[in-house]
Amino acid sequence: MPIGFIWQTFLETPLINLMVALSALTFGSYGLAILLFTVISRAVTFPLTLRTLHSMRSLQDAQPRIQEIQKKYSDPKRRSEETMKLYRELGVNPLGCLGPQLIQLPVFIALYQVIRITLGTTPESVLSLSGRLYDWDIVQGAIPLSTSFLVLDLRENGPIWLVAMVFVAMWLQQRISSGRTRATAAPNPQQAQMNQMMQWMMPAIFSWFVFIVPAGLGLYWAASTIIGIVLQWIFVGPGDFTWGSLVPAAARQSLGLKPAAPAHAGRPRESVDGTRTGTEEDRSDAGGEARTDDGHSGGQRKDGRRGRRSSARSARSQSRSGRRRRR
Amino acid sequence: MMFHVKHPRLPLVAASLAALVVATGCIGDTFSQPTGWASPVETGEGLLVQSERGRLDALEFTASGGLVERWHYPVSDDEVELVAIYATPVVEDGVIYLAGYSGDVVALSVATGRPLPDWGPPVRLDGHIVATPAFDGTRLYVATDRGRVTVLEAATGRVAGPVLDVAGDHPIWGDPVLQGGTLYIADINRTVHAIGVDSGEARWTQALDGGLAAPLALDRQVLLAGALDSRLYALDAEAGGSPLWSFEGDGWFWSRPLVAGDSIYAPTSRGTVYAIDRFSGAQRWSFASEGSQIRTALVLVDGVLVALDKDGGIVGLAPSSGAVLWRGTIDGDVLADPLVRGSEILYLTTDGDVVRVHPQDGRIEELSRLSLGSRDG
Repeated sequence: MPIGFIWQTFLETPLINLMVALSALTFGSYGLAILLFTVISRAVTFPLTLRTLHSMRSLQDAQPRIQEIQKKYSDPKRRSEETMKLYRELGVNPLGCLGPQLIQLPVFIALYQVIRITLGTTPESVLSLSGRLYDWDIVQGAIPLSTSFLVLDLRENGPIWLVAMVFVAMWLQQRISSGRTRATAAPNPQQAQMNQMMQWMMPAIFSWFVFIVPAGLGLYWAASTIIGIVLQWIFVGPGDFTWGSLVPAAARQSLGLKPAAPAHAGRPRESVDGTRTGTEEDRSDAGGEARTDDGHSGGQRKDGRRGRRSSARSARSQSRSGRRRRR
Repeated sequence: MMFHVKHPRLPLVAASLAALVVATGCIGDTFSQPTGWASPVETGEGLLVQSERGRLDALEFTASGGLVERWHYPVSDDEVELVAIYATPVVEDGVIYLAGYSGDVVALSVATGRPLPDWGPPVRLDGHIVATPAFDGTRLYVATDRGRVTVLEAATGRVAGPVLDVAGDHPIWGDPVLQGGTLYIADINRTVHAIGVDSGEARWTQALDGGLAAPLALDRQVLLAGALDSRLYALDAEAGGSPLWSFEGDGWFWSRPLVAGDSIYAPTSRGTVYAIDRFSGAQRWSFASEGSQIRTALVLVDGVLVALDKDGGIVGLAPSSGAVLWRGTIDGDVLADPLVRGSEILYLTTDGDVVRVHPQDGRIEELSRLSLGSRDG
């Protein structure tokens, strides 16, 4: 079977009908249908997302041990073997984050086509839609679809505010992810540069896509990213990210805010053999990256909740790793 | 391996981005390209056809039965781009009133294809034009996909009176009908409007359950409206548009219904042709072509009901029973309504080819197109 036929029959056409049906269920609002679809797609992929988030957390927790391996072994081959051995020992897959993204990619592309087909502006595009709809009353009676949602025309290219929203949401997601890495291990300059680049590049590229594709797709991406942030926050935690950390040091000084304390203060580190070798303060004192903080979050929170949560997570991670080892 | 160790997400991100770029590039902009489906029009000894997107060709029959181009519009000096032509050109007293998808309306000389001096350059309306304008002899009523109707003086192209905001920004794609000083208009947002042309006021509006994209048909006081909810509605035009009956088919009704005697013939987007009792709305017979969607209007010529689907499948049916008299295939896709010329039917393919069909036996001939200056015989 040609790939185009498979794509249309098993992904695009079902998605067209799903979107049209959702639109009918959401009082004829295609925008609400997109949001509902986003929630459904995130719910369907949630087990995979959860596994990825746990995998990400385990990887981040293992950063000190990976660094020790890198210090300990100069031979790249040996270093690599030891690292992979560590991954096996912890039961994590470094490519574990592939799953949800690989699933999201075809959905993103298919949704792009679906929005263009279902919200087509020309008579031909609407006429061609008739050949794609299932013989269901709920679907057949839903055409034409409403093309406006709040102030958005879902057919037109994404407006600037939506582009900005996607950029901010994706930047925040990248920031939270990369922040955890920085908090747990001081990256080498190359990796730090890479993190920095990705933090800006990914949001910039996706914002560009939102700018050139129909706003409906931008709405999906914005909603999906925001849901992703919420899931990450709930199931992995914000890492060393604090809202206060968004304020640059210079602005902090001029506003008279407290100087930031190192992130994850008091968090124990583990050596390659799993023994705890020190705290984040030690690492900061030893020249590790010292991040600014507003003093109301992370290990510096007065109620100590974050500190306990980090410790609890670390313990849970240990426990899970232990279970995997036993298997 | 080191790559994975240091930047486990990098290959994924790079692959994702590359795939996105390639996919976005491949998808292109095909869905937003209007092609137009204006019906061919007869002008004395010739034809007007949209031979390519946004270009109107005047063709002349040659002695051998072929076609030769007399002129086309626009030419490069006209500095106008019609984009596509959906509205069938209106021809009256040697003048062609042409409305392009771009929103431009122009009056051309049938003889030369040049804009009338009294009109000057095309009048640009706010919105795209899909519906064929209604014409009362002195004024054109041009509907746009922004739900508005503009009245133009046929002699000068001047806008007569205020622009009528009929459908509140909802596209008007179906051809309106003008009769007895009332303009009947259907919009895609499921509403039929009756507008008094003198006052510009709404005489009545009737909300239906399905979107309305098909041309309206008015037979005596019965207004027929094909809808996207798979129903054909019959409304009483004299009684506030109250529904007389509705008929449910197997797909969208996006073609002008054909009224002949006491029967109404209407095709659907699933390729089925229905014969319906004009008074009761009851089905008399149906014929499933097993082909693709039918948008072109059905025609009844010499006692044969001819239906053509989008992919070129053509069939001649007995109007009384739906029995198949003959079948054939036209080489090309067809969306434009046909032109009945005497006892023959002319179809225009989306490639701009003109095809002649003889309804008596189903013979199909593609009319050869000769270049300018090479007319024979």
